[in-house]
Amino acid sequence: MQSFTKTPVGGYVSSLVILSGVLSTMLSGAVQAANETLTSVKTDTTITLDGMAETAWDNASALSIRLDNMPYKADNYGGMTSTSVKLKSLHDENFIYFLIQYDDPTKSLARHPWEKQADGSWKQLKDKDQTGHDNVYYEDKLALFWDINARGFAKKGCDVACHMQDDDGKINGFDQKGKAPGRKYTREGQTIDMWHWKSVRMNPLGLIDDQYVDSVNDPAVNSNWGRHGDTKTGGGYVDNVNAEKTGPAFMNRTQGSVDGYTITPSQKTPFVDTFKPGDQLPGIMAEAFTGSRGDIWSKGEWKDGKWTIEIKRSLVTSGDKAEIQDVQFSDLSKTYNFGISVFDNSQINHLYHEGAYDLIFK
Amino acid sequence: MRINTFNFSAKLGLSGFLITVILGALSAVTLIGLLYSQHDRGFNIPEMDRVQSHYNDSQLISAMKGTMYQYVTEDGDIDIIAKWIADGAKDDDFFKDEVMYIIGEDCQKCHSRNSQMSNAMPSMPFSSYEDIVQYTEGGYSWTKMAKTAHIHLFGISVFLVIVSLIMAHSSYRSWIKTLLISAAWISLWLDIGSWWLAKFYSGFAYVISVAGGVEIGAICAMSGLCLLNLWFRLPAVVLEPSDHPPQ
Repeated sequence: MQSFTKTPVGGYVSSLVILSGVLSTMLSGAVQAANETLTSVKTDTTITLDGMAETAWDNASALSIRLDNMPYKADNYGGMTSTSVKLKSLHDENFIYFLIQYDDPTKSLARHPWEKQADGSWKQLKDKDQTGHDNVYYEDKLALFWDINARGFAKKGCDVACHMQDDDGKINGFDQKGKAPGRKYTREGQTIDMWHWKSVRMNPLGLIDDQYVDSVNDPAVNSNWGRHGDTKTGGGYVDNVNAEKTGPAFMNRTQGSVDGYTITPSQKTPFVDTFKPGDQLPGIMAEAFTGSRGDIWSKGEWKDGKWTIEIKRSLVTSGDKAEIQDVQFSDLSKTYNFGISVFDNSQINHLYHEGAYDLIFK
Repeated sequence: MRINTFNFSAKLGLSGFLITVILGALSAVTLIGLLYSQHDRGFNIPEMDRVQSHYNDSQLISAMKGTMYQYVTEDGDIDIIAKWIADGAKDDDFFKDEVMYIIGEDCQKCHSRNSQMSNAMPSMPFSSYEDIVQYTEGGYSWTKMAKTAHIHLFGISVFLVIVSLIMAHSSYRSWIKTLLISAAWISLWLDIGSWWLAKFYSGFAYVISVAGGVEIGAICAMSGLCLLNLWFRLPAVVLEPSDHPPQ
């Protein structure tokens, strides 16, 4: 009997099985291996914090995190509804470094600026949403949450500290209608380290606002509920407003700078009104934090629709209450859980991811 | 009329349909693997305890063990709510102090009438005892069963009858065609019938898994064999004697 095909039926079946197996394995492996871990690579190179990725960063592999969740619908929000953040990490004997990059088509720095009006008066520009928070005249920000000892953080990430209004507009029994849609606080005795990068208030000074979240869930105890700044010995930011609250108290020494929405100590100059209608002055004055709140150094630069932020912190900090306010990278064989969110010109509305990511050291 | 005698355009059309069926089946397998495993990506083997939970536990517990598991802070939270349900799901102090605390931490951010979060479920609030107790009945309710079953039965039967007819007009031996066509239909009925039976006895979750596997396997096998029959010359051993090419 003549054979009708060069390949016998066993060959077909075997080929199909093998092909299916190979395809499944490849697809499954590729998808399952989707990175949820950031590896901090040892380096001997000095990292310069300038918001530019020098070649030393080429030695670190990138973790990409998609941010596409938001906590509420602000009625005047016009920012991004999703973005992808790319993270890299390096470390040496004493410090850990992070390179964070994400696309943001708009560089937003005009945080509550003063603007001279046609009649010669000054007006501080603000545009708040239904919760009383600004999404128009604000600043780009980024926050990293590091687990210290919060129950469930390794699985749920930042969500363990997130508490939203209930059907009656209350959080923990306190009426929050027209106020914040959600509040951050942990359970008793648990804390989370919060690295709050602020493009206007701290970036010009080369710092991150080092904060933490604890279990305070009563606005009478703390207006920011569980969110606190780390212990500081000096520095900070204040509104640039005169005693009558009718205009700015100070101005920059050099006007016309693109980044001139912050008055730093070296720029601080008494306000003299020689301006024309439409001119703007910073609404905020900032001075570098000292103490634990100012122990994370950082520099961010926006270029061609992308923020690049470099961060440096001691592996182990030693400030006041550092053990409850700061994550301590004291054991390089451990996994450290973290989450990240991006604020696009928004006071509290932010893009976040679900779950937690891991940082390991190599 | 055999499908291998169709003209080129007809073969193209049938091939497109059969490939789509295979892709759809693989998508279904992927979804089932995701729903009944701890993973949120990739191809996964369904975990039997999750399958049992889905068809035997209450909707609340099933969701906490399954699709909503990522939002559950710790597994112990599920045990506490399961205990409350097992004890009769009463509106008592245990509910107010223990259950509502967990619901508040793990569920209410999205399951609230006013939630504006990206994954908000304002249509399924978990704000009160009345909101929650309706999801404590074990297994599928009559309403859910009727709704889910008729959608699946109608939907699957539409493409299954087409795949069966294509298979029936293939050149394969009768017993192969009879076996695969029968297996696909019988496993469909067993699968969906067991959704309901598992409400009363969790062992039917195994029937669901086996029948589902046979169902998907038979559909993919028929589609794949028909594709081979459309485009390739096949060995005589699998062909009807009348379909043997001339010597």
